[in-house]
Amino acid sequence: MYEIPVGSLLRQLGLGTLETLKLLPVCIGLTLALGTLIGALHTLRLPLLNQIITAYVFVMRGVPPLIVLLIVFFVANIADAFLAAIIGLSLYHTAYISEVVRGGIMAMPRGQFEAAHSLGLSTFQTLRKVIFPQIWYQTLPSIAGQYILLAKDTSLVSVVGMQDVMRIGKQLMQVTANPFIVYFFIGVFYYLICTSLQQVSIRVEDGMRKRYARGVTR
Amino acid sequence: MEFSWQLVLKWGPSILKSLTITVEMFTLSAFLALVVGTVVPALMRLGIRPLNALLRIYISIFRNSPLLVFLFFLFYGLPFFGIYIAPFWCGVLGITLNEGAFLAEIIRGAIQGIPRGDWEAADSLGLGRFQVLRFVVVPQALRNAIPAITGQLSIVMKDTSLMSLITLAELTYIGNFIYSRTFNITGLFIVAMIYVALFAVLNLAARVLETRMRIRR
Repeated sequence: MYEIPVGSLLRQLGLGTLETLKLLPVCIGLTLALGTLIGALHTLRLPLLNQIITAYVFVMRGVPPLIVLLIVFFVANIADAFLAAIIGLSLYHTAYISEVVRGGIMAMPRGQFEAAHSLGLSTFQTLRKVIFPQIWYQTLPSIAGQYILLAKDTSLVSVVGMQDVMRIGKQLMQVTANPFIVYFFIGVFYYLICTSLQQVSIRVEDGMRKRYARGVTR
Repeated sequence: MEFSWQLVLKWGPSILKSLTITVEMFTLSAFLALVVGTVVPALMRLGIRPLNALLRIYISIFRNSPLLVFLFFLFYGLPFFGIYIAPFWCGVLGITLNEGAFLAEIIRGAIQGIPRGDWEAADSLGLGRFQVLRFVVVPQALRNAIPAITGQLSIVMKDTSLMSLITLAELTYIGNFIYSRTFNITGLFIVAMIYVALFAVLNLAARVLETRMRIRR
């Protein structure tokens, strides 16, 4: 047991945080794409697909992300921790994003769909050109909120063997025997990540409001 | 790797025991988090400046940092100062403070959604500031917020799974333990199904509560 200078401690924890930060954009991109797709498919009420999506969302809303990560890791037998973490976290958060997107689409007045159809737009075109441009603005706060939860869930990925900030924290704790300072700094790192995500979402929302709000009355 | 009924029979009793720990922790911490989540926004309504600043810092810290970090802080960090808390109580304290902050935001939003007329009507009936909150505003806000609160309580349920990482033998811990003993995924699947079943019960209870509390106009 010996003292580690604070600078060195911060550098090591920073390296671990970097691993976490690599995970975040990949998961955000993946969940946004899949969540939008699944949320949109859910509103179409296709016979078999609808039940499958409902069941998937229900299960993911019920099961802890820790379990999802463990099952992905053990069942798929993925050796690459980074990949297992991405699949586990994305599988879990896609369900929530799809619910947000579905809610956004359902909240659109029926007249919009009817008007688009009567103009000869296909269902896909209606969603892409009429509905989505309007719902992004309304669903952004919920989506941003979900991504803050995603950022916090990255603290679980050490269970699939990633060398993230939590794992490094545990190792440092055993060396310095001062867990207090280690977890304090980890908390600060996460706080900074989450509040910056929040700031980005506020900026984007403001930008969108300036562009869209004039046209959209709701 | 396939599903094995022998395992279910063999480990059934330990799974049931861990289920009671999960349910116990959920009930206790959900109740305490609801208390925190109701009291904090009510206090913020009183408009005492320094208190408000303090509560806002509390909410911001817990909303923007992972529960797991706080749990490790309690479990590994506090003993450094000679304060020892049992894993179960670390969990209850951690979930209460963390989810209390989220519930406070939900209920604060619901309180803001109560029309001004209700406040004024209560005032004009001679109710005090505290009474207005206690008898008029908070009951209505809680009713309106039932779906959002249910969603948050389902997350409280999931939070209890983190206790497996601070050595508490709850559901997730047992599932993981069975895997490490047998290299069979059955235990984790059973545990996952139990969590989904608990979620279904929670959902059903919320729906019953919602129809019961609906006002007939």
